[in-house]
Amino acid sequence: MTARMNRFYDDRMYVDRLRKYYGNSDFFNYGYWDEDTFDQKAACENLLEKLLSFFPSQSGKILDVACGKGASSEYLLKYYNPQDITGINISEKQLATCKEKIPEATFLLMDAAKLEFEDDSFDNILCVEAVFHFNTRERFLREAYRVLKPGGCLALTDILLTKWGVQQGLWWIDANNALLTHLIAYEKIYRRTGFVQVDILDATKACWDDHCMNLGRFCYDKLMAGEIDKKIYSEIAGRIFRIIPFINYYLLVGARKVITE
Amino acid sequence: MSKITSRINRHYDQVMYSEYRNKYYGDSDFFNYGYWGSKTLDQKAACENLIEELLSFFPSKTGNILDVACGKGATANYLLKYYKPQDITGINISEKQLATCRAKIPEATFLLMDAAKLEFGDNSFNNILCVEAVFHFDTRERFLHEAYRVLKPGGCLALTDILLTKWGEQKNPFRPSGGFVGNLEDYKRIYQRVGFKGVEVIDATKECWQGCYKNLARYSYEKLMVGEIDINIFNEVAMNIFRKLSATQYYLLAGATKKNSEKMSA
Repeated sequence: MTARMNRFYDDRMYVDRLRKYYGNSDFFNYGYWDEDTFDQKAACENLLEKLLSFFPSQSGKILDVACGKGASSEYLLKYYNPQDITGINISEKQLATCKEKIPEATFLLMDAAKLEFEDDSFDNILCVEAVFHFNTRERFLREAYRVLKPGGCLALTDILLTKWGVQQGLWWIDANNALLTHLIAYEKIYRRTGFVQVDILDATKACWDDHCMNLGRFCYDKLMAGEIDKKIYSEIAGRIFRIIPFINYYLLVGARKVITE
Repeated sequence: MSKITSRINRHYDQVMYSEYRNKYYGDSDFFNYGYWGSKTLDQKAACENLIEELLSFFPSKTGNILDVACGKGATANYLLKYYKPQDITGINISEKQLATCRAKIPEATFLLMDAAKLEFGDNSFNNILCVEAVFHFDTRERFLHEAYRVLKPGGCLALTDILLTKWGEQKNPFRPSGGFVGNLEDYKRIYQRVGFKGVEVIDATKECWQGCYKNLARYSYEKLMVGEIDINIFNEVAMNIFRKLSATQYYLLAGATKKNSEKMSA
């Protein structure tokens, strides 16, 4: 699955047409749409702000898990010194893009479920739209908990499937993770790991639904302007239509490691 | 026939008779998003649910009833559960759909008529139903005035409506201009301006629009996986939903009542 995932993202993330949709930024997530969010890049920045607001403060050392092409890390420079930012990824190709973008930050090839960091290493951990990929989500949470400093915060976005979706199976969601479809059971895994102050927000509309709406608007305008043809438009529509019945929840999660007595 | 009217007819006369859609609707002749509860299993059941939701606005399911934009007669057919066919009148702007209606329920009345220019006398109907069509009318408000006029005092209008985003309203070739309404308060005020009392507007976007497209996506995915449809048909269906996804803001249920009498008794 790792190889397939890398093939998929290493291909999709570098498609010119998709980069254009992301305002030529290196973002690649659904974003968070407010009333005054007008494009995908702004929505992605918005999503980061929502996640950062879980942190007690935007200071100290931060780990960006599944850092993609480095857009999140780059945005973090608004608050952090590059020396305080570490990104990990399973794709050498994406890591190369990251290293080129922010040479002073640290980017490492690493499995999120087997973190090669010492205990109590980071003040905060960020993970945007990737945790459902990990083998497994719970193993990652245990690792995140271990490498967080006491009182440190983990902020992430996650996707839960519909029951129908679990039966079908979706290659990009780890089979163990897919089984978890209920919010109550979902919260339990954080508690079980030891996390406290677990905040789980249902952002399905603001993230997934409104992403679909904006992508639809963007593509329709391109179709009308003759910039894309009907075949491409229908392929994009088909891609979204294939995901729609799978998505039950898009969640924002914040969780803290206990402060030692 | 105006340009937009013939465009609407061309569109529905085609999609309402497409084999894929008919199968999806369980050969029921329904053609709306329906109302999806946790136990709703298929599109036909959802469409019947939606009619029940609308009928629940009526003080009683008695007297005569007008079904505005009656489609292929599925709603009128469902109404036979409560009404005699002689008490049901359906109107439509498509002769093709009307022919289907008449073949289905010969004893009911089906007429070619513009919803914004009703050819009925004042105080003609106990209740009026209009499923997922009022946004096509030129205009919505003119229809509401007409509906109010032909309703008997104390009669009730129940309908579903779709509000698009401003962007969506501008791009939609099936809607007359001037129909944009940005929020539910403004929407409710239109009914009150017309004179309706007891105006109820319910946001059913999740139960109707989302319920429908999610189910259609699930249904189409399964058909694709077992090879009953190919990727081109799948993408064609997807394209239609994608276009609507980019524009749909609210799916509303509305109920409104005509005043019992113009003059208060002493």
